[in-house]
Parts: sequence; structure tokens; C-alpha cells
Amino acid sequence: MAITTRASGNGLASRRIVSRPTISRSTRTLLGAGGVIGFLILWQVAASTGLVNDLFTSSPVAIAQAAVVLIADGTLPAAIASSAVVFAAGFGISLVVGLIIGLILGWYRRVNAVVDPLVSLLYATPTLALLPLITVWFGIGFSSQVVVVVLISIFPVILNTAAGVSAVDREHIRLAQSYLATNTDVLRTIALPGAVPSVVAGIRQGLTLSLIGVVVAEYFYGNTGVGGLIFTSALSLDTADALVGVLVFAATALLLTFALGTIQRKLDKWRQ
Amino acid sequence: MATVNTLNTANERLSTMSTTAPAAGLEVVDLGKTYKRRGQKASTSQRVLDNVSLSVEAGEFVTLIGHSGCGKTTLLNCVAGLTDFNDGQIRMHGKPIQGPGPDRAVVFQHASLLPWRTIERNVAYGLELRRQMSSAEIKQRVASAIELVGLSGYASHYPHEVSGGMQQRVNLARALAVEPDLVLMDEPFGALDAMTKESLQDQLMALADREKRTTIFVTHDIHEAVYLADRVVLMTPKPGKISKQVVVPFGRNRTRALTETREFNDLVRELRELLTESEASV
Ligand SMILES: Nc1ncnc2c1ncn2[C@@H]1O[C@H](COP(=O)(O)OP(=O)(O)OP(=O)(O)O)[C@@H](O)[C@H]1O
Ligand SMILES: [Mg+2]
Repeated sequence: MAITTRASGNGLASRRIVSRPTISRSTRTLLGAGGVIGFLILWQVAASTGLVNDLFTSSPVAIAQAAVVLIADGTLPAAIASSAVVFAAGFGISLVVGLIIGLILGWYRRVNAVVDPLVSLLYATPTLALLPLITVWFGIGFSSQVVVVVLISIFPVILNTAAGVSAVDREHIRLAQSYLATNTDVLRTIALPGAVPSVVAGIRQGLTLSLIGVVVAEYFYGNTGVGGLIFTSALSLDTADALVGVLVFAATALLLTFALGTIQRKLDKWRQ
Repeated sequence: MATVNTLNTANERLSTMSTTAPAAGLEVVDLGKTYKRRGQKASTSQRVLDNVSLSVEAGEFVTLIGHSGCGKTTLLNCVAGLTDFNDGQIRMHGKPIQGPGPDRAVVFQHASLLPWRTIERNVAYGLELRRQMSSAEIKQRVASAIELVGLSGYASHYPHEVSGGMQQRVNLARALAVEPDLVLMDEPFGALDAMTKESLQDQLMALADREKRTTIFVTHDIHEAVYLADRVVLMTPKPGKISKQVVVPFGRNRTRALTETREFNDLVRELRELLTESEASV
């Protein structure tokens, strides 16, 4: 006990907080790009020299070649289109239904009291455990895929929206009342605008989870889309093709997060 | 030695003053308020206001002072219609009030600005909720309210981008924008530093002289109370009562120089003694 205290004390003392130089944004980007390129070169060299078995690891060049072929023969565009439809349907439903349910739960205390335990129970249930049952209820195909995406992504939207809407400042309510605001006015001018940051955070989580949902749904129901491409390619040891699929998901996730981050910054202009 | 006018003389003064003014702006009659709190074992009740009577003439600037917890905010909230009361009556222009009304506006203790609205849209908030004006009219009214409190050039800033003093001016502009008959101000300068506070007091005073808007201004600060007021109302706690009312004999169009005069400081001292006395006697 005494030793750990002393050790951590020394650690703190030896850390120089004063002179931590910050690096500029462009330097950061440059260093980051360098890291990725360095990794790709190492990978390529390791694969070409036989240091690793490229049957399992593939290589950047092989992946690029595979991508060109998959695009040229129309496989990848078709897979992306198929996945995009599942994603759009699932995330779209999560967004619309999640916002509405969240708004109702956040605003009507009584409804919340009734529904909240139910929502928590559903949220706590691992969606993957439900997959076989979803098959029973919805069959194998598009509807089951959409249901999985919705079940995986809707809860953060609901819960964050509800939390944002219900967290109104009492002083703001008094202010509104002093100007004869109706309940709808309070909702419109205080609860909703105040909830925006929390809602956007929920949508952001929902977005990422929807992508995961698409992969899971495609693995489990019919091997369609980009998820299906990854699954079947990997089974036949076409690691390059499989990794093309993985890259598509990674790029999509990055792109969507970036886009939402930009929107979020715009909406959050009023916060410190 | 300045003369402290008690309630009777105050009323005489007012009755001679207000011959041209419309019927009394605000009348609070025998107001009583009890807070009931449900405890774990037994519910307790606390008499916060008892037999409070106060009338404020149109155009008058009244300051309300008293120790912390004596019920100033409660009284103000009752008048604003934000808190209900148990006994007595509150009348505006002779009619009993039922809840908040367009004839009254509150300047809150904490600025209570909506952080997602710009200064301009915060000032517009009350007007928007009243839905009586076109957006063009609102824009015009807001612009002049912003100018009135000296915030031109900051209209499109967000609250977190301006200082605490400026936020209080927005708070004030928002109330003035609806052109209420009665402005209720709850320690609006309480949280500000001394310099900002003085400059806001001067601006408020200039505004009050120009606009002649009936005002009740709550404060802890006796100096502030005397400097701003036509009449100072003293409250004592447990239960909250009005113990004295003192007419300030300095006329309007005051300047800072007044606060250096002997008469001013004598009056401040007398009020301070009255306040200490009244507390000691509880
Ligand atoms: N919502 C409430 N429930 C129960 N008691 C309350 C409530 N609000 C105020 N009180 C009590 O009423 C009394 C008067 O409170 P009030 O806020 O009116 O005082 P005040 O004069 O404005 O004080 P300060 O100068 O500190 O703002 C206090 O003793 C307080 O504890
Ligand atoms: Mg108070």
C-alpha cells in the first residue's frame, strides 16, 4: 500500500505538465497518414517476402486488384446496393420510431413509468440471442435483416432522446410560464431545442450500431450484400475479396461518423 | 441628518404625486403564504408570508430589501403569478390576478437565458410566446430593446459568448420588450462584480427615468436599494412581513455623486440599523 502510494506520487511528480507541446492539425493529419502508409508497406513487404502466409493475410496490392475485379464484374456495386437498402431501411426505422418513442417517453411521465421497464428489459436482452426467434417470426430474408438492424440500433436513439427531452431546466420552465407559455410552447421552445445535443449523440450511436446490425443480419440471413460477400469469400479462402468487403464497411462507418460530426458541430454552436 | 419617512408620510407623498397617474398599478392586500413540506415522519409547514400589504403606484420604482430567506422572492413570484398563495389578494389595475399576465414581466435572479438562442432571439422570446405581433414588428421591438440596454452589435451572439453583465442586460431587455405595466426584478445584479453592478445600476436608473415603468426591484444591497428607489420597502423574516416603508427624498435624475453625499449615506445607515433591529426583534 505504502509502496504504491509512493510510486504513483513519483509518477506524478516526474510528469512535466508545463511543457507539453501541442501539434497543429495539418501535422497530425500528415503523421496519421504516414502511420497508415507505413503499415501498408510493412504488410506488403511481409507478404511479398513470404514472412507471412499471404493466403491468410492477403496483401494491399492483392486487395486493390481484387477490388478492381469485384467492381468491374459488378459484384461489389450490387452487394453495396443490397446492403445499403438494408441499412437505410433499418436505420431509417430506428431513427423515426426511436425519435417518436423517445420524445413520448421523455415528455409524458406516466407513459414513461409504464413503458420504461419494458424498454430497459428489451435493451438488456442481447439481440443476437433473438436471431433464431426472429427467423421463426419473420423468415429468412429482407424483413428479418431489417428487424435485426432496428433491434440493435434503436435503443440509443430512444434513450438519448428521452433523456434529453426530460432534462428541462426548471428555471427555463418558469421563464416560459411567466410569458404565458402553453405546454406545447414549453415542448417546442425549451424541451426540444435543449434535447438536440443528446438526440444527436443517440443518433450517432444508432448509426454505428446499424452498420454492425447490417453485417450480423447479412451473415445470418441469406449471405446477401457486402456482409454476405465477406462471409462467402472468407469461407473459400478468398481473403482479398473478404477484406475488400471489410474496407467498404470501415470506410462507410468513417464517412457517416464524419458527416454526423459536422452536423453536430453546426447544431452545437451555442454550447461552450 | 436625513429624515426617514415612515409609511404614513410615504402615502401622503404618493397621493400628492399620483394625481395624474391612472388608478393604482399594483395592490397587494393581506397576502399570506404557507409552504407545506412533506417530511419523512411528519409534514412541516412554514409561514413564509404573513399579512403582507403593499401598493405600488404607476410609474413608481420600489425596492424591496430584507435578509436572505425572508420571502422576497416568494412575494415577487406571487405578484408575477408564478406561485400561488393562501390568503389575501393581489390586484393589478383593480382586478385580482390569476396567474401570470401580459401586464407583468420578470427579470430573473439568474439570467435564465436560453443558451441555444442568440441574444436577439432571447429578447424576442416573450414577444414570440404572446403571438400578438408579426415577426417584422417583433424584430423592430427587439432591436429597440437591445439598443435600450446598450447591446447593439451583440444581437447575433450566443449567451455563452457574452459576459455575465451583458447576460443580465439581455434578461432586462427581454422583460422590457413586452412593454409590461409592471417589471419585477429579483436581485438582477446580485451575482455581478462591483464595477459592472454600478454601471448597470446607472443604466437602469437612466432607463427608469426615461421610461417611467412601474418597477419592483428586490435586493440585499441597501446602498443599491436607496440609490435606485422612489421608495424602499423593508421586509423582516419568520414570517415574512413588511416592517417599514421609506420614501427616498432625492428626486429623480440622480447621479453617482449622490452616493457621496452625507444625506445619502445617513439614509443608508438608518436603513441598515432598521434592518438589524427588525431582525434582532424576531
Ligand atoms: N419551493 C419551496 N418550498 C418550500 N419552502 C420554500 C420554497 N421556496 C422558498 N421556501 C422557503 O421560503 C422562505 C423564503 O424564501 P425566499 O426565496 O422567498 O427568500 P428570499 O428573501 O428571496 O431569500 P434570498 O434573499 O436568499 O433570495 C425560505 O425560508 C425558504 O426556505
Ligand atoms: Mg430570493
